[in-house]
Amino acid sequence: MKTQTYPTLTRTVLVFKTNLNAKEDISKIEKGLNNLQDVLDWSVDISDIDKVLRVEANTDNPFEILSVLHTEGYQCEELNY
Amino acid sequence: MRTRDEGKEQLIKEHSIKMIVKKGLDGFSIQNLAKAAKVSPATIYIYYKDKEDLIVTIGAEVFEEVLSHSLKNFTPDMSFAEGLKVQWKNRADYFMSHPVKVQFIEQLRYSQLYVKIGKKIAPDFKIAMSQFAHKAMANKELVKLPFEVYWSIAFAPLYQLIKFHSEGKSYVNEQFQLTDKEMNQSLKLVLKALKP
Repeated sequence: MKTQTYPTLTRTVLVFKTNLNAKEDISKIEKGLNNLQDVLDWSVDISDIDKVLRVEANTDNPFEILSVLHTEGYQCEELNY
Repeated sequence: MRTRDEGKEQLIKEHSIKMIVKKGLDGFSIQNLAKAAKVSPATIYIYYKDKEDLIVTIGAEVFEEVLSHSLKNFTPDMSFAEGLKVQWKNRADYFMSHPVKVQFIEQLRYSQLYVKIGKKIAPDFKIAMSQFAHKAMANKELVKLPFEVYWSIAFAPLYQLIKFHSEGKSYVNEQFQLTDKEMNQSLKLVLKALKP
């Protein structure tokens, strides 16, 4: 039997509804997110109606991430599970 | 800590397969999936990065399942006749018992994501089937043919019979059911055709 390992098991996934519409929007928040120490990986699903920002982090505190988007003038709201 | 919940992951997987079969890849969205599976969209994003990641991951899992099923009781060193019989039986079994997954795979096979799915699939199946055919050619049990011709003769007849079966009818008969009788009849002819 093959055992499956999930590298993200110990990470927390934070999911946000945003209004990031295009690549230009994503590049505006790129630096801010990459500078956050607790952020391990992130991606934006522009094909989704909620323009979902998905963040894998060492923390479940969304505050710093929200602040990166709000500072650039974007809407950002954490989605609950 | 939000960790993976295998029950939920399974639920998401099942609904994704059903929804893609029903609505196609373009009509499929995380939002609709969330509604159908009665989970929050955010839950789906725990397991998958985005829609493409979801389709590719689930697609590769189902492909692996089909391929590993077809290798049950099969070894490449079987005689050609015996090995092909096992392949036909395994493939027919899977197709009959998992019709929705089979439709799902057919949808993916002709989509742009297929290349990405292919990269995630272990090569075991291809290696085993290739060894099987090459050994049969070396032993003069199988006529030397280009792959496409070989495949069309060795497997396409089975898939056509399965197709008639799943439609429950054929061009001529209002009712059709595939049984061992038709399968063995066809297999016999296929083996005859492929003999050097």
